[in-house]
Amino acid sequence: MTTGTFGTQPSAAQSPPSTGQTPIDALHVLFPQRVSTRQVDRVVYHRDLSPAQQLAVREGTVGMLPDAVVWPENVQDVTSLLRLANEHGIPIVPWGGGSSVVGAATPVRGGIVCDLKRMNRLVQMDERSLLYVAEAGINGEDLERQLNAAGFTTGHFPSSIYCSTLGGWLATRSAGQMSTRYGKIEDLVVSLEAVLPSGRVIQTKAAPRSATGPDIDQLLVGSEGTLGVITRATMRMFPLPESRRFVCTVFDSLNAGLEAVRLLLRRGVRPAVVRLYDELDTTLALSSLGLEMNGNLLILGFEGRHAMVEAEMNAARPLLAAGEDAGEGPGEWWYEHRYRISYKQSVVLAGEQMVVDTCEVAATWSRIREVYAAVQRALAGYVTVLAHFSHAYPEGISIYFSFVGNADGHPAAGFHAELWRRTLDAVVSAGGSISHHHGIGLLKAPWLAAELGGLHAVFARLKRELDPNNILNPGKMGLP
Amino acid sequence: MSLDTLRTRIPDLVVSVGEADRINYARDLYPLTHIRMQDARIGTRPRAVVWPQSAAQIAALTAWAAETGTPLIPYGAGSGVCGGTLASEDAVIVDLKRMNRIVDLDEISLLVRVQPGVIGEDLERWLSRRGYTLGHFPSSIYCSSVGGWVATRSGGQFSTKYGKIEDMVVAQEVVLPDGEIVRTRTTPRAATGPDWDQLFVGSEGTLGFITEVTLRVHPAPEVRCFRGFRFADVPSALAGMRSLLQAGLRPAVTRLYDEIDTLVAGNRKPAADDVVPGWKQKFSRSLREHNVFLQLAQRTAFRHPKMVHALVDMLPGSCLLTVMFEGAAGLTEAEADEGWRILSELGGRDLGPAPGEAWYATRYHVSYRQSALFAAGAFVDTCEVATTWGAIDDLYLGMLRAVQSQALIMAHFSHAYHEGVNIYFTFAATAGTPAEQERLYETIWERLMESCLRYGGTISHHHGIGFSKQRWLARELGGGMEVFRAAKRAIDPRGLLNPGKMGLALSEGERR
Repeated sequence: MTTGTFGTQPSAAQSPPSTGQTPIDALHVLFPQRVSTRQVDRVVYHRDLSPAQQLAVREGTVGMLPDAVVWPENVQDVTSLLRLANEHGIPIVPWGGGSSVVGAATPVRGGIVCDLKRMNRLVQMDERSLLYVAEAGINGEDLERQLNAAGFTTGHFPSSIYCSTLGGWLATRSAGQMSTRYGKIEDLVVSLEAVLPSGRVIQTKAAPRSATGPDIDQLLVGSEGTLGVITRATMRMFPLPESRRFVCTVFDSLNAGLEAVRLLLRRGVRPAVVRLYDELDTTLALSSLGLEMNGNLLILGFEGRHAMVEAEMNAARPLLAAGEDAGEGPGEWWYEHRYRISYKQSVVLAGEQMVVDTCEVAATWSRIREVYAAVQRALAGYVTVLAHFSHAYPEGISIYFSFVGNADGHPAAGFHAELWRRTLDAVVSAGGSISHHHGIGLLKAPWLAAELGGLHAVFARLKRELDPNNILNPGKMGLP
Repeated sequence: MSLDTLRTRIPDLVVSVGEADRINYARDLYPLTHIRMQDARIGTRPRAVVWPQSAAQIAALTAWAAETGTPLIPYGAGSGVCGGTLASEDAVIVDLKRMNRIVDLDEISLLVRVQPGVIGEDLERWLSRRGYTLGHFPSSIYCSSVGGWVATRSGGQFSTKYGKIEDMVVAQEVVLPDGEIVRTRTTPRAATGPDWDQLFVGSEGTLGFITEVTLRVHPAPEVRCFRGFRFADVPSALAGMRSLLQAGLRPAVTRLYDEIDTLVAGNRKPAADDVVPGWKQKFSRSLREHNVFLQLAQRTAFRHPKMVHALVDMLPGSCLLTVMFEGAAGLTEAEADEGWRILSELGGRDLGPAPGEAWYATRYHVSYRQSALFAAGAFVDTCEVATTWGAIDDLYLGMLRAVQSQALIMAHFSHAYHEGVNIYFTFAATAGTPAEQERLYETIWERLMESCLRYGGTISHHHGIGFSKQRWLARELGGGMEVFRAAKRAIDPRGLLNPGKMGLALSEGERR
């Protein structure tokens, strides 16, 4: 991370004018009342929720400040902004809820933060096609409540739902807690409106499926603001479920729990929620929220039509025989508390030497045990490691590690960096994928080339073709 | 350009410049090329055909192609119906069928790793012997390859349960035009940037050679439940189909035939209660009991498509919806029961399992009936489009009306989704000379594509773009063409991979 002090680094936006008008002047003309160069805004937008930056703030270090924050209100505003940025070579950082935990929204090169939160309308609901159209800046929980009022759900429940946006979900390949049934964000999106770095607006077709070349949506989804600014999306929605039931089981060994989950998915059972906590996570994380359990807890949540929920629960039960039935209680309890855990981190971070972070990786069933073991080995004696497995697939599963450690007199930043170096080196060598749903941003960028191999260079070449002036979110994902 | 340099460079590469091979590879299954063949117009023969046996050989081939400026055309089984493998005279066809190994089956992770040249039916049988299925059953399965499926975004008959090919691909190995061999990571899901698999899936040979694919497999189904339902008309049957999908059910098959297609659907036994009076009964029985295409062709009914459509409109409207659930015992029956309940409540008349079983037994036959029609002096083609449930009725009627005066046209709806469905039109027509047929053929396509775009449909659901639909691609992609072109420039700046396809080289004036 680039660090510096307030406003000492000159940047393109403040560079001496050649035409008599600075880019900042031009911004004020383009976005009257919707641009800020105030110090307080620049400080607020200079970081996102990545723990590395929270640690830096705790230690009094402030990173690169953006030169300005702009709030566009429509797609034409975004086009104007990108054209201005091209003209002057100014970095533009698209901003949703700023809830990235990997530094994806941090303006490391200064420039202009493009906060999309005023583009927050639910534009249309097509109840026949079960699709809605919404602007990128709509807040997740607002969106969910608006759909709920009409009898529908997004099916997308990231734990950041109160502080993340639809556009952010799409840009970072978000996944929600019920993804095993409803799919991840890339499965929920049907079409996108986006502004390419050139300022050109594209609108992909809202078709259920096409054989019309590469999937353009899937190039923009996950591009973390490097290839375009997503301004609007057409998304699937679902009728609110008739029924929601939980089946909870405690396994003596983690392996027995994993095996049960694998067999469930293999059999074609599609629970909405699959959460298997290892022993430490069962004991520590859940008890911190008031649920006392021992062993390896598996929570399965089923939802949908009454008859299918019954049938799926019946199909699941024989495959859980290796464990002990814990009833529906822990599942209902989890559902009540499902967004709370994220807000517990600040308590830990308040401790002067404490370091806390989470890391979500994925692997096929053949490799997952080795990935889990490799991370445990790499961090043994360094930090406390808790883990749960929360997104399951017929071919594999994700692991969500939580780390709590004490820098014990060493600089927290270095301690934290070493934690990540050990973790991701272990994941890569054990054959896992370095991110399941948090994305790459700054934090994981050093490992992206190992993840993508030769395709990282393809990414860079595509970026150069689409964004020759490198204005969109530069310095992220291992790109220039 | 001399091929000698190629032989020196890659001594063990199998190369042919023989006339028979060059004629064979001058066309694929694009129907326009069938029409032309009747006039002994063979089409442009490629310079040569090569059969590489490894990714390394292909990498060497791309280096040679770059030095000599030779276009390369990746070739699977040649079953494309959009002219996606048509060659220029300086091009070399790269037939991948000798790269046909099934490399590995991971039974724990349910993944199979295969080379691109494996023929679909061979792979399915290999998996079947081991207790698995790929779940991918395009009607071309006997004459199409895994690489071709991935390159063209294939969709199979059981796609509603198992997904389309893009849902099955977990990882790929691709040889880029500069000779670099890249691999995507074998992982269930990752948030590590754009989905590079989805860049190469559907790229139709314009961005790289797919040299290995890792696909999801499923345990072979324990049970299979078929049921046919008769609905009064297309809109009410579509509503039934939509309700199934939106209830979260995942049948393997849902096929709805419109009124004409229901009559034509094959030599299937009519349901006992399906009796219509008098001449109408005779007419529908005659249509049903004979190969209607041949029948009509012989009687030159194609010359009077308007009359046939008018006749069919007078028949008591009814159409057949065939549904099949398969999978694990217990779960599948429960899902099927829920499905039958929904369809009955929406007015479907339960015809029992027979219509579905009959379809299943003959599911690959229809594609092979077309040659008889060409022999009878007519032509036939299919056009598959898709849209959302909200727009489907208009798209269906709009496209039908656009060509009803030129061709006998019928449709079925065979891939259903939460948010929409595809339409698979079959049309047949005839004209005097092959040249006139060619003009009529082009007119019909022009009208189909224009009406599809007007009513908001996607111009291809699963056949791809290739040569024949490329003029409409820029409009289809709504600005996304700029992204596709950027990817092409980034990966194949010399434009040597399958040039002249997918609208990548079309000027503004050539686009529709």
